[in-house]
Amino acid sequence: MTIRLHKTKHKRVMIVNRGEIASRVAKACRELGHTAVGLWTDNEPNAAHLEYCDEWIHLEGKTNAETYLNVEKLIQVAKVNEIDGIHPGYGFLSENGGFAKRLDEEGIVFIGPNTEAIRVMGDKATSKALARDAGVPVVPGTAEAVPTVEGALKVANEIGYPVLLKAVAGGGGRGMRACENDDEVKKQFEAVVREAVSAFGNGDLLVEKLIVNPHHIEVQIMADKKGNVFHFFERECSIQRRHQKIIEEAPSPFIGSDEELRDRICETAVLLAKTVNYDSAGTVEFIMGEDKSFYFLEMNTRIQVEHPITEEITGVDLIICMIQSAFGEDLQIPSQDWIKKTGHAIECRICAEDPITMLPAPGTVTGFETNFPQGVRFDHCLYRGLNVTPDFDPMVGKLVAKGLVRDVAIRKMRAALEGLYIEGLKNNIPLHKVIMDDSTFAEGKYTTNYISEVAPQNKINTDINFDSIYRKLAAAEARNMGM
Amino acid sequence: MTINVLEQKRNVLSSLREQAELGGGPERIEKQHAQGKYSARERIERLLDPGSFLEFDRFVVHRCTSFGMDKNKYLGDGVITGIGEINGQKVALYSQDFTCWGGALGAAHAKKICKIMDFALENRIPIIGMNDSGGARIQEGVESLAGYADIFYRNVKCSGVIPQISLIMGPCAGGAVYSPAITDFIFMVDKTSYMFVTGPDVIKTVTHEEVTKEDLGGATSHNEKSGVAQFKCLDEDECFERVRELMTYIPASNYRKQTAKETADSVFRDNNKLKEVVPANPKKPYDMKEVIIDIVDDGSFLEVHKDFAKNIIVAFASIGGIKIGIVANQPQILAGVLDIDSSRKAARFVRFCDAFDIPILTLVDVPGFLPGTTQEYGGIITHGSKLLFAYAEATVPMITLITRKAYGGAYDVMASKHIKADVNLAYPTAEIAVMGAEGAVNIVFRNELKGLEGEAFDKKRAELVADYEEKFNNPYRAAELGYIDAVIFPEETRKRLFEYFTVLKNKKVELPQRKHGNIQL
Amino acid sequence: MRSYLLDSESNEYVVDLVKTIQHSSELVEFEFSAIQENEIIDKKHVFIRKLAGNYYCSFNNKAWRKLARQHVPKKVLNVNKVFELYRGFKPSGLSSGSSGELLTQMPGKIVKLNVNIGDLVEEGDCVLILEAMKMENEIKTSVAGKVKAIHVNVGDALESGVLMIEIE
Repeated sequence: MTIRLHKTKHKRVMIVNRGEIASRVAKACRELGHTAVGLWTDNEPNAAHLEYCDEWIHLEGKTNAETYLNVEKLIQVAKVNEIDGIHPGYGFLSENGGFAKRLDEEGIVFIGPNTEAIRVMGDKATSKALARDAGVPVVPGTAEAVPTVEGALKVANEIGYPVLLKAVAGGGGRGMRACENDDEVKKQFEAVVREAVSAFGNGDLLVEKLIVNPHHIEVQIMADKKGNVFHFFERECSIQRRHQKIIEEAPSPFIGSDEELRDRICETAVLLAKTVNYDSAGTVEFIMGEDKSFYFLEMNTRIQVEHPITEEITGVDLIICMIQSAFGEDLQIPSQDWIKKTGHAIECRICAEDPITMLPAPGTVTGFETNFPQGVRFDHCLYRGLNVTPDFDPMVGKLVAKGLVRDVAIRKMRAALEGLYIEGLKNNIPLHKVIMDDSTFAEGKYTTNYISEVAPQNKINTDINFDSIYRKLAAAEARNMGM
Repeated sequence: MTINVLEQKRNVLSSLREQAELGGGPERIEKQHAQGKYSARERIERLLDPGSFLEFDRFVVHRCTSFGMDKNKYLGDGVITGIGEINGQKVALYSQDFTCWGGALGAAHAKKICKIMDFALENRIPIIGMNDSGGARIQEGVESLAGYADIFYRNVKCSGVIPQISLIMGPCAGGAVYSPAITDFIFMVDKTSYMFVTGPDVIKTVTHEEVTKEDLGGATSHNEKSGVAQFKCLDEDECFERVRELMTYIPASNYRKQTAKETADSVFRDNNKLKEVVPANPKKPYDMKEVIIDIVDDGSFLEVHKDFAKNIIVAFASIGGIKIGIVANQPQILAGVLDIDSSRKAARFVRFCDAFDIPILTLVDVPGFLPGTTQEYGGIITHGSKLLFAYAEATVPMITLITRKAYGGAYDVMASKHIKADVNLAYPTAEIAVMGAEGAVNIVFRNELKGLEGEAFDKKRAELVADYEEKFNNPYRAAELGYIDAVIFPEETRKRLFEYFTVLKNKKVELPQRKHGNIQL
Repeated sequence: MRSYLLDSESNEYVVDLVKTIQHSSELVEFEFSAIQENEIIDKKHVFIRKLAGNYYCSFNNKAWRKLARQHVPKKVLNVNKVFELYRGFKPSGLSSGSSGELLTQMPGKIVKLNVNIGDLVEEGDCVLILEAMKMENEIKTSVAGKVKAIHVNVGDALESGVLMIEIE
């Protein structure tokens, strides 16, 4: 039982998440002298993230709906355990305005942006309208939901094909369909509505212009409660499969040394954030065409998976900033000019999936070793015996490599992938290795169609590597012999 | 100066070792290879855990002087003996070397084998013998015969104390066959091994029958026809693998309890496949192996004596890590009846399990004993009751599960409650009765059916049969009397068996003191 | 000593430890070969030595690489296939006969013939039904092939040991 002194800065922070992000947040809590309170469920009694948490609370329930997504249960647990602030991580309840509001009502700090910002920016339609009003370029198309096929056809013909039918509440690549002409719009409209209703509970659709050869560029924003809004430069996340990112880079190789463009896009992001009185961490996502024109896509009102690469090039701990901002403290950043970028960082998401089909492959980790070069960071939740089940996200770790120039970062990532050894669980390390060797990637000129155009997964060598099997067996036999 | 002498002494040992390695020489070893056989040392290397072999008596030589034998000596005298490990378990073994005088046995050769058998017995480790020998050394005369007898005596002395396994990897003829015959398990290698008491040549002269060595005593004949061998292996490598697999199921000696078998298979999984396996139509056969596969860990079981008396299955398996022996009728073959061969096969297996403290699971679906003059003149009375004796005498934990039929005397024989099985279970599809409905109705309702003919007869009979079936073709009569401890749903089988076997681990029962029973051999 | 690698699609590789030579208490040499469908597809000599409490491995006794100490893994991942690794033996399961001759095992009556001469059959196909011991026994072929000869007819009452069907 801690004895609370007046004016103590110590807080009890509960992390309503699991996996590598829970470890990450817990580490930041400890650094600030706060108590990190972690959660575990019956699905994962030996979770790795608990190692970094000071207190462990058991959350009853079998499914995510009963545990990490159960707003009332989490609030109950927080109240019983005298929690001062809750960090939602990413996914789960991190962008749930309802959850943030409930926490406000209960007087528990939500370590994330204010409720209003979440509400406004969470809806694709309203955020687009707001951006347009603020003078931020948006993708041509409707800002309001289009309820009928006829309405969609009208908009499509106004802005010109190809177009994208996109669910207002969608995300993660779901609830969107590309259409080349009127026929396709007629055919796909109903289907997308249905998918959106079943996946997100909201069938409202937008019609937008589909940018060809697009680059996915996003800008990291961090703001405090005193009105200061900073940007931490951009990231490029064009390498995606099933519309989910698997490799991210900071800064963007497409923008390259075009500092004017960089300043422009980053300042646009800051402008947007200021417009909604943003605080805490956030990411403004843009889509950039070959001609370097960029359009606002959406804003993610949370910390993102790929934040480590921004941390690597700027040297600032973003999670610490989030926590400081939430409790109304100083971010310890004198001004935007102090935030500079050095070098280049690449992140590869290590996922439990078949490297060729890229479908999730649950399984158990029977061996895990790392042998990395200098300049490599690995945020993960792996341990020998970890059972990756279909309940949770297949991502088990983020491998980040940094170098002074991009080629060095690629080289270090290649060496890091060689030194990352996961046994028993199918994973996409072989895919990342092929991409690191790929010439298109090396040139830095790739679009979001990279995976389908270059198809690196087909270049993976699937021959049995007997040498590694011999080594394992030989070591075991030598051990049996008593060596 | 002294260094030189030390060096010299070391070199002597090194060169002697090398010499012993060669056995009968590289050409003879090549000849073995050409026939698809490994040399004696290679067999040891491949069978045991790498680097675990410690040899005894490497430099023993024979002392025979007749027929100029003293000029021809091999280090080791044609057999390699020693101890090693299989899966970490220490074993004693001997491997006869066909390259030295055709592996023929002489006094020193036999003495080596006896020595290692004594060692195994005193230290309570299994003994494995790799037989590859042309027979007795004629030059050594009656000393060879004495050598054999010394070995046989020890086989008997060890029987039931330490597991004895024989691998027949070449010829094994004449008197030499009695050693494997006494051992617990015989592995034969297809096409390169044979066993018989008298060979084709003698048979030709005496009875004028023409038969090849392979047909007379090859692996197939002994596995399928005579039932002498329990395993047939396609090649020597498979033989070693099966031995290694067998070793994971049997204990080191009767002295020590078995460790649990490693398995990731959950004990609590339902056996949903078994709901459908036993067909509703009692006339339809099904594969009992499907039942076994679903119950045991990882669906894996080692079937012993696979090709002989296929109407009964005997196998080793594990449930929740507990190693057990399984005896099960196979309804797919001969309707699962008991006959001479199957009774003998199962009886020996039950007695082996009893000797070595291995719990037994019996799966019953038996319509009775096989009728016929062949059986009767063959002595089904004596042989059939061997299984009964074996079960009744056994004091290891025994669980019986009746899946479908259990009629007549066969019900009694197949580990019924009365011969002291510990837990008797039945499926809802079980039919425990003196005989099937058809036969029973003819006897019990003779009067009711007398005088009826044609359609009336058929109708009344069908009625009576249906009535009888409803009343008696179920497990509940027996359950009412407590002869069945529980009638269970097939889905619960594995869970329940694991629970029962766990409790039965500490079972302790003793039979009245006596030198030994008089089992009707 | 052989170890088996099996994946869920029945791809099977055999790793054979042919020879073990213990050079000294710190150095041991293994000769491995990899076998697929009875063909040797790879051979290697592997040296293991112990240095400062760790195991090092080499393929030529010159270049060494440190190894993680571990038990024989139960599963081995190769890019996109996860193999189960069985050391020493492949656990046995269902038996497989290999006879193309189907003989009666007991006295009975043929009630149904499911094939004709020249038909192609798969392993496990039911070729005839024999009523015996009050059971309808489905006689299944344990080999795939063509029906060479049928020696019986429906309605025949047979003794045991009678050759009914031959499949080649």
